[in-house]
Amino acid sequence: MKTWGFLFVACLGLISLMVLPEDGLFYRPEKWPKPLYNFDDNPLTLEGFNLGRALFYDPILSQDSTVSCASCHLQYTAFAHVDHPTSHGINSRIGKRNAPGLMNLAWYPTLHWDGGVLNLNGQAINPITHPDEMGETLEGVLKKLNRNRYYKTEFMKVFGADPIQTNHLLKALGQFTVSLVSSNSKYDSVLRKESNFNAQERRGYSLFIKHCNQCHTAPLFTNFEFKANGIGPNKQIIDSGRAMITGKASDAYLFRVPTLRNIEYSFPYMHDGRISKLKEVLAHYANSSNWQKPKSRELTQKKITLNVNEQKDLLSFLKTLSDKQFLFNQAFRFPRK
Amino acid sequence: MLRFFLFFFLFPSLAFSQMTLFPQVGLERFELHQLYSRPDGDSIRIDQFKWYMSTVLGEIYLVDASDPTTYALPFLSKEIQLGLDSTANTAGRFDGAYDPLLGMYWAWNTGYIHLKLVGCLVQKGRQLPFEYHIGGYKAPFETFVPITIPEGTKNITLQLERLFTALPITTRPNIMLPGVAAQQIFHAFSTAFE
Ligand code: HEC
Ligand code: HEC
Repeated sequence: MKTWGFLFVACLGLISLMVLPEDGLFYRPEKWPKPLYNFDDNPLTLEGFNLGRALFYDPILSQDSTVSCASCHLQYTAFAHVDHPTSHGINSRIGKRNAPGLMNLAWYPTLHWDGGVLNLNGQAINPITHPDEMGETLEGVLKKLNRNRYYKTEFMKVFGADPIQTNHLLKALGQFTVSLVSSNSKYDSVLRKESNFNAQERRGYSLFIKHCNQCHTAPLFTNFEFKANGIGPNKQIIDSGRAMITGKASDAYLFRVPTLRNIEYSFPYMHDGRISKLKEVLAHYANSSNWQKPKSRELTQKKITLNVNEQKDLLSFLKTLSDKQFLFNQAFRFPRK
Repeated sequence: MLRFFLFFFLFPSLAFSQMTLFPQVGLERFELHQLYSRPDGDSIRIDQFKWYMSTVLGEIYLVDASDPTTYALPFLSKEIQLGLDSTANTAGRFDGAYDPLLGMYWAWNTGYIHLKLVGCLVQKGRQLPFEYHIGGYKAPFETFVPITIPEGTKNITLQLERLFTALPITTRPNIMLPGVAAQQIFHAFSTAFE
């Protein structure tokens, strides 16, 4: 691993340290665009990261102390949810969506499938206060944290915070989630000329560039735009996607293009988790007669036809986007306090 | 760090408190949980009434009728705005007046509620609850209005009758999204400052 991470200026702006991906803290991979996250507002420290991780894995954030962030975002599925999502009733806005994998969030201009959330730190208010997720109130969480000796000490160390307030809680969680960088897949090492694709992966890569890269654009494998890939509206769960945020009819059933990094592990697929196997996703794209309205221009411009062998080639390329270092990084695991 | 911030946050309000809001219904002083009659014969009761004000300098301030000390505006600037601009809405800071604890933050569609109005319409003995979360900072559904206040003004009287009459309680008792209906309510509120 030759990539050195970024320089981080610690809280007081005095201590700076070099960071390796294995340490867990955020780094900017070579040749990647500038991250959008506001690091000046929340300078990362190892203590802050560890505090964020402790919170991420702690059910203290939920009303009855049973659900943590990690209940829906598991490391070995690239922080996505493994269960097929079920509908939690009509008022449940988030409950009807599939939990996406969490990675490279520092580059995300918007969060959630509909792009309604503009700020990573603020995102955490959604699961904490959502009745079908953690069902807590911010008052309730802060009260519990302010009674907890471990958290009192840690928040004091990291933010000089007493009492712990909303912004401290959100910044701590942000220090952990923004640090979930995945950039060490086989694909990345091929790009760095440290290894080579085999013949099948190479064929898959050409197909990918031809048919998929317009929307799932490297290096993040998404262009962050709102598109429809022809799966059609869900018939049971009404979810108009982007239109809920913009109020525009032309945005109905558009969803943010998801990243394909670690896609082998982040099943089930699509905003509603309706497809459970990657093979089936490829079968969907391979056969344009399956496509339903709405369909974005990128799909319909060029006719896609992928025979069975081509689908296998694409699949083997998609698997080169799996990043074992990320999926098994000790630094992202359940912490021992 | 926090103390430092709080100091700056509170200091102007102590030192330069120049203008005070006086919400009224007709000639009566407005109070939460009181019944006020409307011209159409119905009565209205308000249980929650909060709104953001801001200045052209980017300061933001929450007025909350349940805490009348917030009627004293900590603004030096004469150029007051009702609501928040897009910078404030997307600032991504969650301290002070930005704290989502204040119940004015839309988490799933990033932005702030600029005006929260919750209460009940009493119509021929029937109670019709209503809840308005009014906000929006994206064109064309902004709820954000500059207010001109004559120089030297110390007391700003808010005439709330027009707002209470304009609420579409029987047809739309709940509005939780930016849009035309939200803008109409916000506009009615802004006329209270005239
Ligand atoms: C009950 C399951 C559940 C829990 C618990 C949960 N999440 Fe999520 N998370 C989701 C779902 C579902 C989405 C997608 C929401 C949407 O698109 O509307 C999501 C989306 C996200 C996103 C945005 C990802 C993207 O690609 O836009 C982040 C970041 C996130 N969650 C972090 C957290 C954190 C931090 C916690 C703990 C405070 C947490 N989640 C707890 C289910 C959950
Ligand atoms: C028009 C832009 C567009 C093109 C071109 C496109 N996709 Fe997609 N893709 C999307 C969108 C949008 C979604 C999410 C759809 C939803 O959930 O409603 C998606 C979802 C996926 C998913 C599921 C991801 C997840 O986390 O759930 C996979 C896998 C995928 N696409 C692979 C491909 C492959 C392979 C190609 C090329 C054959 C391709 N896509 C071409 C827009 C596109």
